[in-house]
Amino acid sequence: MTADVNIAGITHRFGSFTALENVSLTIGAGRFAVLLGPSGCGKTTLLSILGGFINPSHGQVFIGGKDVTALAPAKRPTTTMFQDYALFPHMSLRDNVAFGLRMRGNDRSSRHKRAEDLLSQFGLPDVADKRPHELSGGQRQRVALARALAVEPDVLLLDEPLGALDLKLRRQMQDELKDIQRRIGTTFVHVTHDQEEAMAIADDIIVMNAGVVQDIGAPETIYLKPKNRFTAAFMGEANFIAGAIAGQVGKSLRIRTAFGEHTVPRTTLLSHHPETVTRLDICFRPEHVRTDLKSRGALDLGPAQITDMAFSGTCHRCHLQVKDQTVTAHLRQNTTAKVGDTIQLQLDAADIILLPHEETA
Amino acid sequence: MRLLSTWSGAIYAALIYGFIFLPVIVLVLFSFQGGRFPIPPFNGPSLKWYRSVLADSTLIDALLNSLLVALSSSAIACLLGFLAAYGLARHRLPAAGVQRALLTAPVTVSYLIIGLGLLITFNTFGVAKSLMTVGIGHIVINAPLCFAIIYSQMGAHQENIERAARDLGAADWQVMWLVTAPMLMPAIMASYFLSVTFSWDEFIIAFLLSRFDVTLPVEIWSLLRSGLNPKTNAVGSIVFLISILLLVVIELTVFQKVTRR
Repeated sequence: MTADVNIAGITHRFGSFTALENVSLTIGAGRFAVLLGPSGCGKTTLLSILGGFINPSHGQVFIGGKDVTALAPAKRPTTTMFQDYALFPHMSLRDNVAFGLRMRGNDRSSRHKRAEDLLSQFGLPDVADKRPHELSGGQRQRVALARALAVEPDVLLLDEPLGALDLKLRRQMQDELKDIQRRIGTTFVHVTHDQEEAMAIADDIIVMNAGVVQDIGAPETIYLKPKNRFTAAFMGEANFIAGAIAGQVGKSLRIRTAFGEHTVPRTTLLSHHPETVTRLDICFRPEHVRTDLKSRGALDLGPAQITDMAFSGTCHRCHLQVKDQTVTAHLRQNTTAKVGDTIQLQLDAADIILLPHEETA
Repeated sequence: MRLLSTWSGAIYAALIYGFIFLPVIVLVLFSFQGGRFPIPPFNGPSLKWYRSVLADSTLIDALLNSLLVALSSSAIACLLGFLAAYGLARHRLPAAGVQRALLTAPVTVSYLIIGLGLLITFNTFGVAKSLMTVGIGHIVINAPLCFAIIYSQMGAHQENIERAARDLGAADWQVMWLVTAPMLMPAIMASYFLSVTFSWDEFIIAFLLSRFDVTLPVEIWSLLRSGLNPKTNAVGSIVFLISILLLVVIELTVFQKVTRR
């Protein structure tokens, strides 16, 4: 079972603190959506509002086209998988998973059968009689997932469920979650502050900060074409170089920076209109730094000195000093450059994006 | 020097435990007295005073009354304590701090005052003194205790588990009955057995609020008025034995579970 989620103009205040400010968004049926943002950005509040645990100060929530804003959690077509799993410590795993079905009045044998089926489906056969405290963290998590899915919700809400697991197990569970979601087709709304996790599992990422939705899109879009500086910086390391638009030539833009004038494609400005943008930031990621380009798309920022360097396996992560600006760069694994060397800092114009300049607080 | 401190420590401990337990030992010892007076010399052992206790229907009735009052008043005290704790821990109530203080305040009031207050109240409303009024008195003294014990065990972690139950479709009473109460079972059992113990040998309130049917402590008191007698020792030993049994039950069922968690 699956349904779309429509959040319409949700504002929520805790006393004088505004946790969410006029949030509107739509999550398609059967999508794996991730609410991503730093702690305190309002993502967990939004999830609680979807689950019915918090009544928003303003706005409405529609699930499958039905207004559920005033419905109690028990009456919503949603279930939640909690951060601490919140399993019932005094019940066997079978009773844990069957709890929702019991509340819906299913008879004992049918709900027990369904619970046992689900447990073995989630890789936990023959443990139905155990209690939660006898399981490892990863196993408990599967039980929590089975319990939440046993009642076939339209929307499953996941509140940072992978936070407590170690890195290896977290990767494994990411894959499993994604796999399960694809198999059953239920809409998943998952909250995390880990952008790698978000990119690993999401169909859609919703980036949030300070109670406001910053960006929505597929992982690739969010990472490569972020709408603003917050998203760019939150999704991974990013370099910003201040600049301004000097002119427009056909499908190209002339931009001026401290490193000279460059010609870049009009598309690097995304949907922003050139006339409305006076000051801008050129944004590029460390892996976009090149040293060997000769083609026409190249943006030459001039000579840069390597101030430090660290080998991180897939690349050499280093800091470059170019004029009075520090740039973080990933140099190729087999580079021969050393600290103190001067290299030609180049960018492919296709890799960069131009963001309207925001005054940072 | 070390030997000296070890010895003085041992003597000190022996004195302390002797001070605490000697009266009980004397009481139990002279319940097996062969003669007619519970005073030295000891000329026993004999079970004749126990036989006479068991043959005394007034005493046996009082013992059963005591059990009835203890078991039922504790159950109600526990229920009230649990509901109050749940309400205060899970809902935002007006003046919650004051309410909490008011709920636990009776613990500090002497049983005599509580007994007198209830006596006056029952008189005013024309409620006849009976085992029920004794039970009500015991609920008044034990409910605050049950509340304090159960409330102390209600944490935020359980709140999330209750939320999960609600999320899966449980109504409020189902959350309480199927999730909260079972999770708090160790605390609930601890408060139950503790109130049973307190009710079991409570005298003043039972004395003030009972009339024809009396509890065991009251019956023992009237027995004592007719002078010392090894029979009182025997019935006192029985009271003591039952208290010990309750203690063992608490130790085995409740505190085992608490430490295992």
